[in-house]
Amino acid sequence: MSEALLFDGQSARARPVDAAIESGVLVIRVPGRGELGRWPLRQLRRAMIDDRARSPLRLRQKGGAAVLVVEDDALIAALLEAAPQLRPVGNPLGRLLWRAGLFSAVSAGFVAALYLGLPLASGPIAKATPYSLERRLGETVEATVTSVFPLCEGSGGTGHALIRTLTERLTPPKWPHEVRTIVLNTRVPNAFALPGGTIAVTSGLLDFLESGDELAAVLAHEIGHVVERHVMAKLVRDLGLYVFLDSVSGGAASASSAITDAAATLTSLSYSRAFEREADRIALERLRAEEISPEGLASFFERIATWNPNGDSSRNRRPGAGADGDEDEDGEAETDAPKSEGEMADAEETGEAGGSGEEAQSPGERIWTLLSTHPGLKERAQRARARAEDWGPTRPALTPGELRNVKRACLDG
Amino acid sequence: MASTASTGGTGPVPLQFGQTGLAREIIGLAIANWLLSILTLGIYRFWARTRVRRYLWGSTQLNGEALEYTGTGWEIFASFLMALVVFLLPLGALYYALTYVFLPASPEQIAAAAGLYLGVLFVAHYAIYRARAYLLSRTHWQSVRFAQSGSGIPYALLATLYLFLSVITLGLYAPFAKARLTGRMRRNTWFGNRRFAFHGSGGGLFRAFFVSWLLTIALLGSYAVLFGGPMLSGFAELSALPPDMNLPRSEMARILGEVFPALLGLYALAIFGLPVIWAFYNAYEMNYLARHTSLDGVSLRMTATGLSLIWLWLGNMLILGFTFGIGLPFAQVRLMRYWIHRLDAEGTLDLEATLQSEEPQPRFGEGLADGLDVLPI
Repeated sequence: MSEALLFDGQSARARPVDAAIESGVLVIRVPGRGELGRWPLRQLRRAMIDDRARSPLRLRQKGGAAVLVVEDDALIAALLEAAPQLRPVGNPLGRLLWRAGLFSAVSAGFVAALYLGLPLASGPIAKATPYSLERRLGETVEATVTSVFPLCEGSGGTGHALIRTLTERLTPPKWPHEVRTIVLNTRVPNAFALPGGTIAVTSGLLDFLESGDELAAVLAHEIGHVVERHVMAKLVRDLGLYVFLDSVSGGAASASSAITDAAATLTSLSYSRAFEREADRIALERLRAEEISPEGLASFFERIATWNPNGDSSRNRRPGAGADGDEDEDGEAETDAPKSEGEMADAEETGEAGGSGEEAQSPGERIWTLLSTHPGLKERAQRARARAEDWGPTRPALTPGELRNVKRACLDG
Repeated sequence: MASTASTGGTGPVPLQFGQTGLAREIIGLAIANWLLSILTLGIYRFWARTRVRRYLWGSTQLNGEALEYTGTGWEIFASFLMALVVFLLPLGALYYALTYVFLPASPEQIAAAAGLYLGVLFVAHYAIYRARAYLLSRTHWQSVRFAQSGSGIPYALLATLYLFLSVITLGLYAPFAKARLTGRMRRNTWFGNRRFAFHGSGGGLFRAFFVSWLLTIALLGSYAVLFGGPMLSGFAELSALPPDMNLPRSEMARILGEVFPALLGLYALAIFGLPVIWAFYNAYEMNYLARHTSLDGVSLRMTATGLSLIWLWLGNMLILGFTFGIGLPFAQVRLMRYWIHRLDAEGTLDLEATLQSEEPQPRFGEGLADGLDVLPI
C-alpha cells in the first residue's frame, strides 16, 4: 500500500489514493472509501512518454484519461519490474540510428515508386487531356520562349515557305490538328516540340544541316512527339513530380528542398527512351511514306552526337562554316551540347540552360552524357540506317537550291 | 519533482506557473529531429514536432503538476495526407496552371491570381483555427483537457475581412482586428467544462498602436527623404538597360555605389528600426490581451517588456542563423520559457467543479496548417 495521487479524468481535482499491485492488477483505493479502479498491469502506459525521470512515475491505463502519479520508490520499483513496458527505453543513440535507417529506406522506396509510377501515369493522363487545353499551354509557352529566343522573320520568306511545306508533308494525314514550325534565332542547334503542335527549330540547326533529308528527319521526329502527346505527358510528369515533392516535403529543411530541386531537374532533362523510340518509329514511317531516305536521320544523329561549340568534331566542319564551332560572344548561358527536346518547353527553365553542360572538356562531356538528354544517339542512327535496306525508291526532300533558301530563313534583310 | 497539487482539498485553489528543466536539454533532440527530417525529405517533421511539444508541455507546470501533450505524430501525419489530397495538391496544380494557362501579365491572369490569393488567405485562417483546436484538445492538465469550440469558417471569413479593412486603413484597423479575432478564439477556449472569457477591445490597444504607427510613418518618411532619390534613380537606370546587355564593370560599380547607402539604410530600417519600435507594442499587446483574459475566477497577468522581447528575438535570430535552422527547438524553448516566466495567475479555480471536457476531440486538424506553413509551434 503506497500513497499516490490520482487525477481521475473526470475533474481536475487531485485525489490522494492508495495503490498496490495485487495479482497482476494495480489496485487503486481511496482510504476509507473502497476501490476506485483496477488497472491490469499489461494495460499500464507511461503518461508523458518522454519523461525519463525516475520519480515520480506517471501512469495511465491504455486509452484512459485518468492519470496516477506514484512517488513511492518501492512501488515504482515494483511497477517497473512487473510492467516492463513502463521502463524508459535504453540506448537512445542506437534507436536514433535504427530509426534513421528505417525512415530513409521508407522514403527512398516511396520516392522510387513515385519516379516509376508518375511517368507511367503521365502518358494516359496526357492522352486524356483535351487538345484545346494543350494548345493554350502552347501559346503561353511560345510567348515565353520567343521572349528569350526571338523568332526569325528574316528575308528568307522562301525558306519559311519550304519549311512549312515540308512540315505539312510529314504530318500524318489522320492527325486532325495543325502542326506548324517556327524558327528561333539562336546558335545552338536544337529542335523541340511545344505543347499544341508547334515545332521550334533553331537557326543553329539550320546552319548545322548538310542535306534536306536531315531537316525532314528532324521535323518528322518532332512530329512524332506531337502526335503521340509526348509533350503533354512530359509536362504532366515534370510538374507533377515537382509539385508533389514540394508539397510533401513542406519545404521543411532547406536541404530537402535542394534535393527536391535536383530531383525535378533530373527528371526534366529528357523524354524517356521509350518516347524517343516511339518518335523515331513514327519519323521513319512518315519518311518512308514520303519517299525520303532514312540516311538523313542517321547522319543527323551521328553528327549531333559529337557536336560541341568548340567544333572539334571533323564532321561538323564545312568549308567556310561560321556558325557552329564559334564561341558564344555575348556570354549568354548556352549549353555546349544539345538540350533535351522539349526541355525548353518548360517556360521556367528557359533562362537556365539545362544540366551541367557548361564545361566542354572531356570529363564534363562524359558526365553530361550520363545525364544525357539524347541517350543512345549512335544506336538510333544505326537502327535508322539498318531500315534503309528495305526502303523503296527515294527522292531528296529538298533540292540544293531549296536547302540554301532554308538556311537563309533566319538572315536579316 | 514531487507534485505539490492540493491534496484532496475541495474548493477553489490558486494557480501558479512554473518551469522545469534547462533549455539546453533540447539540443540533442533538435539535432536528432533535424537529421531524421532530412533523411525523410521532411516527412519526419510530424514526429519531430510532436516530440518537441511533449518536451515543451512537460517542462511547463501549473501548481507543480506538468502539462501533458497527448498528440501523436501519426495523427498529424494522417491529417497532412488528407490535406494534401484534398487541398494542397490541387492548389499546387492551380498555381502552375496559373502560369501556363494564362498569358503572362494578362488581365485574366492577374484576376485569377488575386482570386487564388484571397482563397488561400481564407483557407489559411481556417487552418489556423483548426490547428489550434487540435493543439488544445491534446493538452491535458491534471487529466482534464482543453478544447476549442466553434467553427473555423466564420473565423476565417472575419479574418479575411479584417485583413482587407486593415489594408485600406493603412494598418490602423489592425489592433481592432487583433482584439476581435483573439477574443473570438479565446471565448471559444475551454478548460474542461470551464470557458475562458475575454473582455478586451481594439480601443484598449489603439493608443499604443497609434504611437508605433506614427513612429513607423516617421521612420519611413525620413528614409524616403534621405534615400528615396538615389534608390529611384538607381532602379531607373538599371531597368532602362536592355535585358541581355553586359555592363562594363565601372558602370556597374557606379550604380551600385549610388544605391549602396540606400540599401544599407533599408537594411538598418528592416532589421533594427522597425522591429525595435514594434517590440514595445508587441509587449504591450501581449500584456493587454493577457490582462483581459480570464477563466472563471482566475485572471491572467503578463509582464512582457519591449527590451526583453528584443533580447529574446535577437537571441533566437542568432540561434537560428548560426545553426542554419537546426536550433529551432531551442528557440522555441526560449520563447515558451519567456512566456511562462512572465505569466501570473490571480484568483482561484475550483478544481473539483472543473469537469472533463465534453467537447468532441477533433481527429484531424493540423494537416492543412502544416501544408500552408501557418503553424505557430
